[in-house]
Amino acid sequence: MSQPIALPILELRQVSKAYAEKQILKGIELTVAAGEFVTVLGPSGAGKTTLLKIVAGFERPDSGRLVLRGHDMTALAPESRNIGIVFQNYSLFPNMTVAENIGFPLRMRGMSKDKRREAISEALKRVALNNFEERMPKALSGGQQQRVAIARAIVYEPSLLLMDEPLSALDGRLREQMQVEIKGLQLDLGISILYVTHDQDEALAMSDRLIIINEGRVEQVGMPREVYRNPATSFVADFLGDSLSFTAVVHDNAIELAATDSRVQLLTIPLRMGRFRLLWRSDQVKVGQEVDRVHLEGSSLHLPALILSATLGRGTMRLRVRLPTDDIGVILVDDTSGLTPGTRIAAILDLSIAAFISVSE
Amino acid sequence: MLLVIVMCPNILILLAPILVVIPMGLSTDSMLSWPPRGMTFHWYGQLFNSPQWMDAAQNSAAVAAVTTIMCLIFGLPAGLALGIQNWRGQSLFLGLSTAPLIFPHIVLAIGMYQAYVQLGLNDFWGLTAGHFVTCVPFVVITAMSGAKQMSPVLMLAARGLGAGPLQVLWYVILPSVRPAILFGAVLAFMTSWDEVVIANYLTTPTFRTIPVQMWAELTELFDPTVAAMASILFAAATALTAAMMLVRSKAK
Repeated sequence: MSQPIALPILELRQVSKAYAEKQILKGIELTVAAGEFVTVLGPSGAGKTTLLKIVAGFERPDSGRLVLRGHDMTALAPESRNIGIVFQNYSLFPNMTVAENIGFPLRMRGMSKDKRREAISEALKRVALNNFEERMPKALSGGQQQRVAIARAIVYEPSLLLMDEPLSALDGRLREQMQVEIKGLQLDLGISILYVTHDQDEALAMSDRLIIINEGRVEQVGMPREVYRNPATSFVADFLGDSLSFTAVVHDNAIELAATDSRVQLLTIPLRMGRFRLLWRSDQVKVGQEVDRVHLEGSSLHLPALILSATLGRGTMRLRVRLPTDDIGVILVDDTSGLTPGTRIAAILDLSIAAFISVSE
Repeated sequence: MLLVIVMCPNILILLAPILVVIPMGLSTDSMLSWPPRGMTFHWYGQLFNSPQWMDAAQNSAAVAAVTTIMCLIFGLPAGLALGIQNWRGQSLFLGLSTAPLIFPHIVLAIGMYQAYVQLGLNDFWGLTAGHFVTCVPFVVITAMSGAKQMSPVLMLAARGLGAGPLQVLWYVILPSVRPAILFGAVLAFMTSWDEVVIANYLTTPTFRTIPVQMWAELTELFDPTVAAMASILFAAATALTAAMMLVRSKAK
């Protein structure tokens, strides 16, 4: 981004946490800038929930520091952090009306009743629930409950909004609609969000920046498109979606495909040399007529490939193919291609857009 | 329908003694007898004019009320602590605080009698202390199960929204466990009100509770005043149960 980044709203420095001998977080580094939407994405068990609990103050890290708006808050009680939290299961107080729920954080801050009423109706307007003040939470649908929870978390203008898989209890279409609404709300209010999810589509759709974590470590940080197109590790590559890849040794004048005797002469000197997993996202791969050997045309590699299965999608066809290296990957083609399992094709891979993932020998 | 047919004999067996007692309290006979003869409210008048019965009622109410308050003061925090958090020695604590439920009252009563005599603890405070021990498990257990039913995320949510631990207790935990607390308090009150074994040991002829008075009358006098008293107690218990059912269905 071009604008100068001011003091980050939230900084985590080398945060580690273990439960009973098991190391959950291993030196997590993370920042959220003002007005930024940062998503922590990882599979279940990666340490996302623990990370969120540490930021919220429900857990203390074993080591490392948390800095909020320049102040160390590692040891601060959760109620003193001024962070808004939206949980997966809405967590509205069942004995309070919608207005009382939203007014709760204001009441805890000693705001007068009149001012509260104004702020509550303002917050309800923000989440498109005008005049819902007197309803009880159990009388609302899941989506409405989550809107109330969001209103409750923003009504006191917290420095940071934490969202813990807030949409995972909602179903498909409502989920997509809420993604758009949350993103809109964030841009509107200019609020900083730290969002936690295991859902790749959600993360890609909403975030300014992604932090991919696995087994308690940060795997990669970057803008969604960059992380998706240029995964730094095999974990990130496979976690974020389908691809076609093979392992190869890149020399200054040739590429050697692992597990085959194929060696392709290069016309230009590659940018990086060494042993890599060369990876293309499924939509970046083109399909050509059957070829009998690996060869280079321009900057594109042509690899013989066998179609193992073909699944119809929304306007697309998903081909699972096997390469001569025995790697199995996915190519996305138009649903009018008419390709069937058992067909031999060429996978056309443009080297200039390949992701180079370092792999050890 | 089948259930109703099966349940009928059970209900009859449960209700029969009660239905026997009510007419006996209205009998014109001067002895408790069956079948009752005539119909009079004489024994009810007797009851309300008797200083012994009225003192006993006052004593019972005072002991039960103070017992209930003590149970709430000590049992409620214990039950909440057991229901909300996991801590070392939790099951030992639960076992100790609910042991009086399993202990035979007669054994407790003998032990308390011996111990309290040494301490000079009898009549009101002696009986209240004894009843506290036997009634506190009800409050501990109901508060614990009430707290366990509450979603623990609610407490985290409240903390995140700016509530300190005491505010979480007041605004989030107590409202959610209120029906459970009410139920536990009623159980404690009724148990103390009804308790005769320990009361027999820890009371003196100058300080009797209703069950002790009834026991004494039955062994000494055997007149229908006891049946009249029993009818009143039955009516009161029925009213209380109905009220609790109303509260519960409203809460839902």
